[in-house]
Amino acid sequence: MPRHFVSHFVLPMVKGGRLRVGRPVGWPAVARLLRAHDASHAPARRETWATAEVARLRQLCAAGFGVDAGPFPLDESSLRLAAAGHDLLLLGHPEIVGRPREQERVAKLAQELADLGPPADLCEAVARYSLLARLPDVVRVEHQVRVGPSWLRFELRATRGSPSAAMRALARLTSTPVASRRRGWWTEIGFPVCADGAIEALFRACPLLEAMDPMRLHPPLSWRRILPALRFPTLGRVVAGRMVEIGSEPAGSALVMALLRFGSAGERDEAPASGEEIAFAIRFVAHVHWLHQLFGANRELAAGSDFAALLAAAADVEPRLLWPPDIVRDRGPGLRFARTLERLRAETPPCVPDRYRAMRTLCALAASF
Amino acid sequence: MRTSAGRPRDRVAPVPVVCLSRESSLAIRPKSTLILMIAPVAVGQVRFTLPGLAADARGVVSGRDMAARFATLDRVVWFLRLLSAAGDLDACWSGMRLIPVRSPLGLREMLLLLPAPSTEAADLVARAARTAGGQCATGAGRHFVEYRDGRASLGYDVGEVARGPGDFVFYTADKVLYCHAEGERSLVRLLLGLDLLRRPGGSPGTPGDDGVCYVTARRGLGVRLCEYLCHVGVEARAAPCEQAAESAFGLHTGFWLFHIENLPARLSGLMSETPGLALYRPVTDGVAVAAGYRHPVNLAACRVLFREDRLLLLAPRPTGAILLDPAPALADISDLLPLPLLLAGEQPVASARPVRPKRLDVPLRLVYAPEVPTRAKAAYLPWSQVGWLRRLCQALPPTALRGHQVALLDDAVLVMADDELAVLPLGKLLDQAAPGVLVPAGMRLAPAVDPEALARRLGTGENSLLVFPEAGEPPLRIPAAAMQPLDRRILAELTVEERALAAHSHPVAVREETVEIETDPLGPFSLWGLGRR
Repeated sequence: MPRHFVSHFVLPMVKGGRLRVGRPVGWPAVARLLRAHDASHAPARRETWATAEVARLRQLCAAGFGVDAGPFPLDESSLRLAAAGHDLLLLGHPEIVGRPREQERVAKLAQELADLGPPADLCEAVARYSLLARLPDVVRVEHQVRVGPSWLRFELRATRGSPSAAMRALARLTSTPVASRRRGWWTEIGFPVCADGAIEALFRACPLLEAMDPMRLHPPLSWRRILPALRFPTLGRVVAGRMVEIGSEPAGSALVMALLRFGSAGERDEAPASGEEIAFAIRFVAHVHWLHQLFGANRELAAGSDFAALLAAAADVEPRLLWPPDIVRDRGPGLRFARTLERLRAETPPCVPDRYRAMRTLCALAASF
Repeated sequence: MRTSAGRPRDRVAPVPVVCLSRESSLAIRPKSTLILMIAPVAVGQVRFTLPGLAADARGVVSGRDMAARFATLDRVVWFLRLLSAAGDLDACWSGMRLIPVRSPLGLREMLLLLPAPSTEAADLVARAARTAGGQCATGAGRHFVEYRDGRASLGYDVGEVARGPGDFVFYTADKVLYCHAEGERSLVRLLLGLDLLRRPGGSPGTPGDDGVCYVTARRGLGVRLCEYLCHVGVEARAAPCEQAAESAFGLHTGFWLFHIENLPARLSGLMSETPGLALYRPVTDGVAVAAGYRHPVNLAACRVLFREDRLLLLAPRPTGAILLDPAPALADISDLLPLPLLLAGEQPVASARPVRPKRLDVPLRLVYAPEVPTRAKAAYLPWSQVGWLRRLCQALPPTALRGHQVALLDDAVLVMADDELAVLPLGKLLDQAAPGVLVPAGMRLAPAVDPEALARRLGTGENSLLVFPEAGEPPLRIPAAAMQPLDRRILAELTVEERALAAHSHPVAVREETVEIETDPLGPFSLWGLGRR
């Protein structure tokens, strides 16, 4: 564990900068941090300042969601999530890569720490997300010096914060530039397979973290995990806005694919989706398309996409899944939406017949609610 | 029985022998008489049974040709080595033919046919052939009789000319051999197929006795070697060559061939030991052998076998022999150099050498100049006086705040006015000696160079400032980015206002700085004691 965990890890993860990843943070360390931040103890001055700064930045983040909450303290759930994030980042440490036994143990520890369950209320969901919001943005800077021709190449690599003295000396000696590259830990470096459970537990504890990144491939998007967050209207609007930012068609298609998994086979040992959950998810996807039509780019939805298949099927089976009750359909946005649906109903079934039939079944399940 | 020359035939004791006559070869006749097939030539004998034989002035009988028979090919090589070392026998070498023959017993033998210009030359050939384990005969056409030896100092003649089938007929003391030719082998190819021998104790870089040598260079090294030889003043001629590939699908290996008339001894090692270069020593016209090696046969003795219009380079395996047919037309290396390089090489070296100028630096220092009118541009405030500045800023009008910039240093604060510092009589006043150069008021810089030139030399102006806070202290360089407007710097400290504004901003607003991982060294660590207690 870094010596000053809050100032060296938690604060950079919330604010930005260099976060230091060291030895694994376990339960005793979390308990020690809780005692250190208790009022009866006097933590180090640097940690006190860092704790206050973290609370302030998390409050700013919550304000962006429209949640007017006080400064979030570093309570047990926050420290457990931070420790789990640290241990997940540790799995990409150059010294632990290639040691599967240690990786499995650390991943299991991270899963235990992150196993908090879904957030109980809006403030808790936002508080957890405010702590981990920048986790997908973590990058690792790699430095490299290459000397010699391709058939006789000598390389020096470093994954520390700055090039080593030997690397700088070699670069200066051979007049070779030090090539620095930023690799995203979440998207490029990735994490080992043994960390799947920890990642899912982290997503379950912080569903906003998963919902804000629907294009991720592994672990795939799970409606079971993100539904608790989307049921808060405030968070649902923020997530839908994020979909429009990413691109309503690719993000919506990712949501629809996850919805098909959610409504058909279920996910692992969790309970199968109910009609009410399916209906809610379809309404959320339709909400994304409404936002796209109102505020997104002026681009027609492709008829062969999964997003279009769901909209066309829902328009056929149960239009109420797509239409808010207070929308007038013969003018304004309602008229445009109706025309889009008509076009999709005409073009999508011959284009993707299998997918269209599956979507009809899904919509029928939702309509049965 | 008498021979055709009227001499009685020799008779020996009647013992069982193998009589190899034409009629009854390999037939065993017990208690028969040994009949010799050949007889020594008597002194003064002028008529011979075997056609083609003739006696010289000494009475030694010799034919037009010599034939040497060997059981194996390595004995042929041995013979060639001995013959080449024996002397200059150009007439023998020019007509030498190597013919594989099959004897009546079915054995394969190698037959060397070579002309006998004289009996002295025939003696040399016979001595070499017998030393190499072969048999030597003389004659003409297809009939050959044993050449003279110790038992017949003048030579032999046959008693009867054999009429049997065969391309070659050999008459020996006890038999007549009929041999059938099986083609003919190239003697030059045999010589080129022999492995070179390393010279014991010889330096590989030693050129020929007259300093002439050949050097082959890979294609990429040719021009470089031209430049080098031209640079060191060695006269040479060169040409790019293309070695014919054995197959149409093979690689055509190209190289450069250099003919150096007088290679300095100091360059011998360079030519022979540099990868890509190979040094050859000429042994005769049109033939050169890799330096440090020699051919088993003295090629100089058999130079008639090699055409002069070709060039043969003999190298040890795996390179082997390189035949350039015809010999390349060599050009002077100075004509092969690219023109710019040639001009660069011909320029005198001294004129291109840069001359290091002597330094004429005069140190820049501060001197008192009370006669110079002072016009304060900036103030250098130690942190102990910053409190005064804060209180003064509370009373300054907006125009005064807008017209000043401030930089926070480790030990002081630099306040600089856009025009003239009149409202901040604090700290140490600084005057502008040149654009971006601040010196204490009442002092100036010596030597008094032009201010613009001084600014250019010190690198000040738009990007940085150079402040001389005290005489005798090193100057401080302050980047222009560190200078901030005074009013903005003051307002930045009002954190309450900043927090109130930022509370209503989007969460993206706090995402300004990237999050980078900095890994600490882990070292050994335990995996127990991390779980829930």
